[in-house]
Amino acid sequence: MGFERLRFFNFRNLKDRELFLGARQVFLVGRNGQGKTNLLEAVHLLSVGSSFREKRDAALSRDPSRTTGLFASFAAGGAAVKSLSLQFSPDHRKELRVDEKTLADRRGLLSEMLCLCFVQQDMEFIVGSPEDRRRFFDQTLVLSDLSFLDALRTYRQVLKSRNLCLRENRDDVLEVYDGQLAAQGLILQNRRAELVREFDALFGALLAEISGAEQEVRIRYRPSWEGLCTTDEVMGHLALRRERDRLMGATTSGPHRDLCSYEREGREYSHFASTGQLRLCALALRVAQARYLSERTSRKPVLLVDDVLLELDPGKKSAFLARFPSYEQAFFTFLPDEGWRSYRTPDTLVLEVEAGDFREPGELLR
Amino acid sequence: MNALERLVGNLARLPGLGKKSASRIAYYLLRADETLVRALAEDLGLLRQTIHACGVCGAYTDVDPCGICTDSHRDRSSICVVEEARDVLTIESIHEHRGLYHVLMGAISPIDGVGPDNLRIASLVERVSKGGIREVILATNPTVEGETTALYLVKALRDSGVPVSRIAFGLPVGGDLEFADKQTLARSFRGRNAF
Repeated sequence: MGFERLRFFNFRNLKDRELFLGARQVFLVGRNGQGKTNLLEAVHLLSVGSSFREKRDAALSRDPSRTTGLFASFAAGGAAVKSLSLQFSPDHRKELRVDEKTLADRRGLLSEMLCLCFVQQDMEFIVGSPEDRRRFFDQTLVLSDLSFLDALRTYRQVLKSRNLCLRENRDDVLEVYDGQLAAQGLILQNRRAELVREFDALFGALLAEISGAEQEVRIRYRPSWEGLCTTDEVMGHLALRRERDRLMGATTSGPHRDLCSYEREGREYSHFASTGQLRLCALALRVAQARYLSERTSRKPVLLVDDVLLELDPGKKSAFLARFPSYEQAFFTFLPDEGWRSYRTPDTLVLEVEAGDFREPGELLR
Repeated sequence: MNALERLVGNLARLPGLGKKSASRIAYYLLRADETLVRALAEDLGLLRQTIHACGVCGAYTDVDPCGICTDSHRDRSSICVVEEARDVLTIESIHEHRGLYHVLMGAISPIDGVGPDNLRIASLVERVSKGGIREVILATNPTVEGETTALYLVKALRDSGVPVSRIAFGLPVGGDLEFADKQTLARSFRGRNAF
């Protein structure tokens, strides 16, 4: 069933109240700036522990001098109902709870929930900085296997220490960090390469089906340590670049410098694709991600779909909907005149959103 | 501020204690047996005066060298290296290691400003190179800092020719595979032993 109840206070522009959902599809219908995306953000925060568009928790509070709270009851695949809560206090403390038990780390939440969003910001996975592009694959790997999160965290910690040693000329410890960086980095590199290989076929076929284009877009992964397979090889490489690293005051090679690109006929796709084509690319990535994770984790995701149907022409819209991944529950946002009525099913809850409040639609929307 | 309020405030500064637990302890002491309170106050007063780090191994002791370093029944050819003095007590409690100890007083962590020179590494190398040591067991924590320190020690002790081993990491005894976290399980697979 997914989210059955949601309650929020002091969150964005949403009025402090409780919402009863209890439907497999939830349509949020309203004009711009009324609070549709804020509700999706609340669901995302409760499922993942972070926002899909805001890095600073403080920005989520309507009144930063008061505590902000989000609460929900959630049940998936016939399992018992879980209670979820997330609170931010004015002194920047964040507390996540599942069934009244405080979680020390977001890690615990990720093993309970699978929530994916289709949002405007997804375009950054294709046209954004190398870091944005890597984030999509890292996110997928973390959600499919939490041990990747541990490897990623260890790598970052070692990287930070190594950079400090480079700046402070601590050669005695540097060699030790080289060994650890190589070992952890190769774990990341191998997992990313494996994922991109599997993903490339899945994504390429989906995109071709949705867009109706014949030429395939391929994902290309270019690891910074390309061709290096063993810890010794990487350590040799790090030793050769050490002087350069020292001059830069940072480690200039490694998985934190890996590149991912989308190419058609060998050319970087973002250089010549239209905004609409890139948008489709982002959608296909998310559909592929949902399918991949459902298969890997045997869990159906909660999907948050924000305004993405808006920019598709009718043919692509129906091609996209025909390939929409299976889900536990899905939230969609629509503008009032967007033709949402035709997508309704008997298990759809429609909520009209206005000035941060929700109500079941009156005659006008019906 | 009276003595009770000061005590609550000071107790709350101790690790693992919040304001609530601190006031529970303080109110308990107010009504507790007089001899307990006096003994506690006396021990607190004597703690810093009488307890020091052992000049050889670095463990806390009231005599120098400590009881473990001077115990003639212990195996003097094996040294177990730990990060903190309290780790000695933990390892002693399992009665598995009959050799000596060496406390590093921390682990390498450049981010916290702790380098090899801030730790008791030079004295370890000196102890080992004096001869008579057949094994050095590294029992630093399975964290990035502990691992870095262990790898650094391997390098630092290489010239001595003394075999260096690392304690194993894996599943807790009596634990269930189902409840083990994946990182620990993965590590126990990598560190598996032949039957």
